[in-house]
Amino acid sequence: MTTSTAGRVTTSTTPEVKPFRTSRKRVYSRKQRWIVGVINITCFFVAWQLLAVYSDIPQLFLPSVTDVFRELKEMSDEGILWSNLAISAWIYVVGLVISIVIAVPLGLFVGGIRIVDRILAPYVWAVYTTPRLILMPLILLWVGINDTARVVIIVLSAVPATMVVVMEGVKTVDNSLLNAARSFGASRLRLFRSVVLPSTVPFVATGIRMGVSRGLIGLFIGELFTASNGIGYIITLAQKEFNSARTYGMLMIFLFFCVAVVGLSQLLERKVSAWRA
Amino acid sequence: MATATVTEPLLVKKGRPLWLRLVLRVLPGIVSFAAFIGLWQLLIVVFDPNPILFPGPGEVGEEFVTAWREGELWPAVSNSMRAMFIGLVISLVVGIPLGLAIGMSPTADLLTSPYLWAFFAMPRIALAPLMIVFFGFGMEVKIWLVVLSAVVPILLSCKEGVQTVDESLVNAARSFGAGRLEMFAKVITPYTLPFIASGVRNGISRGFVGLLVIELTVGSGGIGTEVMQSMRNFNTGRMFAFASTLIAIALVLISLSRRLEAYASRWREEVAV
Repeated sequence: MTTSTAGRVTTSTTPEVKPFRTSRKRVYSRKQRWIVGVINITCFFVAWQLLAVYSDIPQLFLPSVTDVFRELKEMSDEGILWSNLAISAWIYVVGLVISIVIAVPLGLFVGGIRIVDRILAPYVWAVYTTPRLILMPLILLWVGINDTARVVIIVLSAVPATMVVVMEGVKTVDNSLLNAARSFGASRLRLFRSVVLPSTVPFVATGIRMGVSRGLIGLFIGELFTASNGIGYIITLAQKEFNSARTYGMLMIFLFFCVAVVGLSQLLERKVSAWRA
Repeated sequence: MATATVTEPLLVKKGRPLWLRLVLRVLPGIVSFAAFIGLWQLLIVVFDPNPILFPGPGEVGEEFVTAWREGELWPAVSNSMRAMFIGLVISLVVGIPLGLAIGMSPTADLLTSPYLWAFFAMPRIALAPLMIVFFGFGMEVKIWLVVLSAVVPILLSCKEGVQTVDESLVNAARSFGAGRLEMFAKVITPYTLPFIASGVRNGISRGFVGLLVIELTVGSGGIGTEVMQSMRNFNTGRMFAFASTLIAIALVLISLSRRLEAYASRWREEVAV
C-alpha cells in the first residue's frame, strides 16, 4: 500500500508529464500485486468479522468468520465436505470432457465447410444466445432426476459456448497461408492438418475457457434441481435449514473451486496462444 | 446470426422496390423457421412419441393460444420483463460508471481485482440461496439476481475498455493540450463505447439466466414459474409454449443488443467477443 502512495507522490510533483495510466504500463509489479492482494483479502475478512460481531445484523444474514470456519471444519470432520466436493468435481469433469469432445470437432466441421456454415451457423448462434436453462424442466422429464441430467445440463451449457468460438476461429485462417500450402500441392486433408488446425488451436483454447465458465453455471443449476449430493445441494439445504454459517462456508468452497477451474483454463489459453502475440 | 448479416447484402440489390427488399430481408429467416417446424412435425410423424415427452408443433401452438386467451401469458411475460428491466437499469447505472472509474485508476484496479476476479469466476446464481434468505421469494429477489448476474460482465467490460485505450491516441490528444475532462469525453469514451455495448449485451444474456434460475426454482411468478408449473402437471405442450415465448423474447433482446453493439463500434473493424 505504501508503495502505491509513494508512486503517486513522485508523479504528482511533475504535473506536466503526469502519464495517463493504463494497465499496459504495469504500474504495479507482480509481487506488489500479490502482497497487496493478500493484505486486501485479510482486511476483508477482518472487516467481516468485526461487522458480524459488533453490529446488530442478525446472525442469519451475516454469520461471523469464525463461525463459518468452525462449520467448515465440522463438515470436513464429518466427511460431508470432501465427499460432496468430489462428487461435484467428478460430474463437472465428465460433463466438460463430453462437451469438449462434442464441441471442438463439430465447431471445426461447421465453421470449416462453407455450405454447412451457411445452413447451420444461425441455429448454433440461436442456441448460443437463448438461455438453455429453460430446457432444465424438459431434461428432467426426459432423463429423470439423476446424475445424468446434471451431466446433460453441463454439456448443454458448455457446448454452444465452445462451439461458437471454434467455428469463428476456423474462419480466421490466414488466406495467404492457405494459398501457399495449396501451391505446394497440399491435399485437402493435409491442408486441414497442417494449416487450419494449428492456427485454430488458440481459438479452441479460448472456446474451452468459455465452456469452462458456462459449464460451472450448468453444474450449479443441475445441483439446484436434481441433486441429492454435491456442493449446490448442500448450499440449498443449508439455506432451507437457515444454517447460514454452512451456506457461507460452502459458497466459499464453491468460489475456490470456480476460481481454480477458471484460472487453470485461462492459463491453458495463455500457454497455447503464446505464439500468436 | 453473424452469417445472416453477411449474406443479406448479396440478396438485397439496388433498384428493387422497397417491399421486395423487405421481403427478401426477412425471407431467409422465415424459410429457416418453416424448415425447423417442418422437421419437428416430421419427427413427430415418423417416431410418434408420447405427447407428454415430446409434443408436436400443433399441440404447442394450441396451448399457446389457450394460454393467450385465458390471459395467463401476458401477466407472466410482463412480470418477468419488469424484473429484467429494473434489474438491467440498476446494473447499467452501477456497472458502467464503476467500471470506468476502476479502469481509470490502477490503484482502484489493484484493490478491487481479487473481488472482481472472484465474482467473474463464480456463477452468480450460486448466490441465489443467499439472496432468498435476504429478500424472500418475491419480485425483489428476482431483481437482485438480475443485477448480480448482469453487473459483473458490464463492469468488467467497461474496465477493460478503458484499460486498452490506445496509448498513441492519448498521447496525441495530450500533445494538443487536452485536459483530463476533455480526454475523457473525446478519447476514452468513444474508444470504450464498443466495450460498453458488448458488456451490455453480455449483461442482458447473463441477467436473463439469473432471472430464470429464480423463476424456475423459487416460483416467484413469471415465465419460468409457468414452465415449471406446467412440467409438474405433465402438461408438456404448455411448457413448450411458455419456453418458446421466452426463447423468442431472449432472441429479440439479444439481437437488439447486437445491433446496438454494431452501432457503437461502427468505427472499429473487429468487435471484441
